[in-house]
Amino acid sequence: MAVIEIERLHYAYPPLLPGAEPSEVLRGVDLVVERGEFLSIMGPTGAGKTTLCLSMNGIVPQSTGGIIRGRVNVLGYDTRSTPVAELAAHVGIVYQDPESQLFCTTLEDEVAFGPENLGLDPQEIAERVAWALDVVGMSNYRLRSSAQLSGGQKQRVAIAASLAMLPEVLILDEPTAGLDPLGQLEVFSVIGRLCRERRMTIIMVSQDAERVAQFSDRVAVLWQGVIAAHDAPLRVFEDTRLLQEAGLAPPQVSELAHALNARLGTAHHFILLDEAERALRSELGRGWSAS
Amino acid sequence: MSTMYDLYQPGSSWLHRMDPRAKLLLVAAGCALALLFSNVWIMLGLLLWAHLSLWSARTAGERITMVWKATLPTMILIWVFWVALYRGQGPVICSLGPMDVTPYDLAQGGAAALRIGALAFIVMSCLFTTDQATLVRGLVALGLPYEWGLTLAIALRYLPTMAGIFRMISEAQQARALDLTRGNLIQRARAHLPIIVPMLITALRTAENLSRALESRALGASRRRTYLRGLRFRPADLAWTIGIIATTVLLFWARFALGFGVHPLRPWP
Amino acid sequence: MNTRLGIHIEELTFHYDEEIPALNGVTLEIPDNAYLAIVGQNGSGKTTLVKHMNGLLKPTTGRVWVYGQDTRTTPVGQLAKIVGYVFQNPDHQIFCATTREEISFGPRNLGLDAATVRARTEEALELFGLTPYAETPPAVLGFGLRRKVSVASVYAMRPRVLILDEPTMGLDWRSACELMRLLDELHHQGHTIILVSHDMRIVAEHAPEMLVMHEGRILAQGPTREVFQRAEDLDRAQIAPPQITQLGQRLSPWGLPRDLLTVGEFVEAYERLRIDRSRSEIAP
Repeated sequence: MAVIEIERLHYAYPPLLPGAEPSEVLRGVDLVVERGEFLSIMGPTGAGKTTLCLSMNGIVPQSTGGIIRGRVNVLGYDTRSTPVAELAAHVGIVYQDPESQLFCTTLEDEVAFGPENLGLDPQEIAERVAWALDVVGMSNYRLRSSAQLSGGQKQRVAIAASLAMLPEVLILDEPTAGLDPLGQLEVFSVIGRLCRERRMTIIMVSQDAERVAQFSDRVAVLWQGVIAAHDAPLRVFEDTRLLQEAGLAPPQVSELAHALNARLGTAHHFILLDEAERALRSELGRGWSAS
Repeated sequence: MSTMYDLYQPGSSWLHRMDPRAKLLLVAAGCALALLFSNVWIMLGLLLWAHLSLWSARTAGERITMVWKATLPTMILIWVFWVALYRGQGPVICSLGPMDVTPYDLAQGGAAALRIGALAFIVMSCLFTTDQATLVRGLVALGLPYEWGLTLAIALRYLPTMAGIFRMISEAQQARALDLTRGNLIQRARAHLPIIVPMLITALRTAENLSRALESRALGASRRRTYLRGLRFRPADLAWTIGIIATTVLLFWARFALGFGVHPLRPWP
Repeated sequence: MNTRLGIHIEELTFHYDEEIPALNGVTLEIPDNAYLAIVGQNGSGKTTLVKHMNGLLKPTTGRVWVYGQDTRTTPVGQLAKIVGYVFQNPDHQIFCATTREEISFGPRNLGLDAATVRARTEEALELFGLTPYAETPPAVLGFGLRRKVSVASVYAMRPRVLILDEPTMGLDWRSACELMRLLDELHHQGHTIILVSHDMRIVAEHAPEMLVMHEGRILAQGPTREVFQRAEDLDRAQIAPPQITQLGQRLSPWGLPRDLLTVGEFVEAYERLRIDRSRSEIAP
């Protein structure tokens, strides 16, 4: 069952400099996301990935203005006409910058903010806050201020703040872009946990091909304003021509598979480190007397 | 790291536990009294009372010093100007050229100067002992539109963040050999442009990101917004409220009916 | 006074506040024309360390000499002639109305004459591919271009040493590669490049030398090839080598080297291994 249906979406932001021509960022995007799916969106900087995400919770075009054409339907709601505040209960977004998403004094307040806006019963809010902080592993910091947390911790809190709304769809827009290796690990382990335990529909925008390979059911490549590829990770990472043109890199082991296949005539298809290890180990173990 | 700009200092004193509405009433009353009277002893009294409150709330010395550092130059300036420009009544104790200085002058100037300090410390006694969220909730409970309260809370919360960004930008531009110490006042002011412009741009971007974050978490979804931690008006708060109102009314009456606290030096005229 | 080339750091300790030192007894020699990557978690002291190299921070104890000048007594403006520092967020440096003005800001601050400033600005615009945007306000450019502008602005000061804090963060692969190619070229021209980065693949593919920071100390130091083999140290610093290196290490019982840094190296090594194996199988 499709939770997100985007049909021929065109969008142009209002021009930055007065008198300039609006230029289209999205030029006919078609995308369908199934319930419970983990979809990763990749694309070069400035391709419109964030714009696409914002179109799924109505901020584009309701708050950004600009010129929009086409249809965006999320869980049956039309994101062009359903108020953003209403959509927010169903679609959560975690943004890239950990420094400008959190604004409350304590983590408890931060995570409670969303449910409070929905006018929920304080008892229910308390339960959701406790649960959300637990899922992201920040329960011990409940009464602390977000100001002194590390980047990875802040992003986890941002995820909790979105989770507390109990959205059916969670969008993560480059959640680990500015984080150190430890922070990235923390955030991805939360994402992994969400995958395993919640079966939410998750959309993740990321440049980290290796993590994309690890989590995604499908990968969409946004390039030149359209979805240039939308397939299982393996097939997308084998489309070297597209990746090259779009300026994207597949996981390093995937590059290795292609290079080995080209050089040695093998037929490797791994995209994960463990897969690569198994495949090459068995090849090395077997020997090549056959060739 | 930058706890200095984080006005709120957690604690559990009587002042901390006071309902924010009662606290705001206390601040309003204190400010009204500071503006109402012009007696130097009363100003000193208000200042002393604010300090006692902060001391009993175990406020860090650094915070108190910070407020003094911010207000003392202004206070001294006011005092000097007042004494220089006003001719008061009473015996002249010394003459500095065309100016005659009387105890009345000194006291009147002193009251005007101390008033600034009293106002600052009364307001700070609230900000130091109330976290932003509670403060906002108090204001909203008293009738402030929620969005205004939220704006205020976010502004307070981002003070240390913006200070940190200012420092980073300053360092980044110094690394490009920016010299902030050369030239006259105007030149030096212009030299700060490479810090102010990125600061503004960063502030605008942060504001845009924040507004998206707020929208994404359903701000404005329901007319009836609920709160995780409700405000509770305790009997102690009621007692304080009654006490504050009664005292303020009494003092107002004393001022207008009996002329209490008008004269800078003497309590009664 | 030390008149040698390079950056010499002796027993550097630095405290932001009275408690834990951000840097605890760091001793380091960075020779002229070095190409060094500094890795470590946020809070490990990486940024604190590099900020000592252009005088933004002064040692609490210990000494830092930059090309013969003691940073404790040399003003930052003076050190900026030798050490250029590109900050992590280009938006913290960009403020001019045109890219050309932005790039000429640094050279102007150095007190150079107008002709030299112009020449250097044009050269930087050319080198970084920014000439088409010379008259555009840099603040409206896309992130990748803003990053280039910030690097170009510091480069235009022709510092001997170029310190870059996470230059590829937020860039897509193509832009990151372009930038790194430019840095490689600058290194080739004689500049010293110091790269603070979280991207191990970039470090492996470009920086011949590497430093791992952890809790204010240098945990490991040396050729990148060697440092990526020090599993215990990397574990402590919670850093992982690039996938290709990890793969090589996992397959080392079967004959693969433990110090592979690129896909190309892996393929070569694998092919050689295969050839050796088939030879040993054919030979009686």
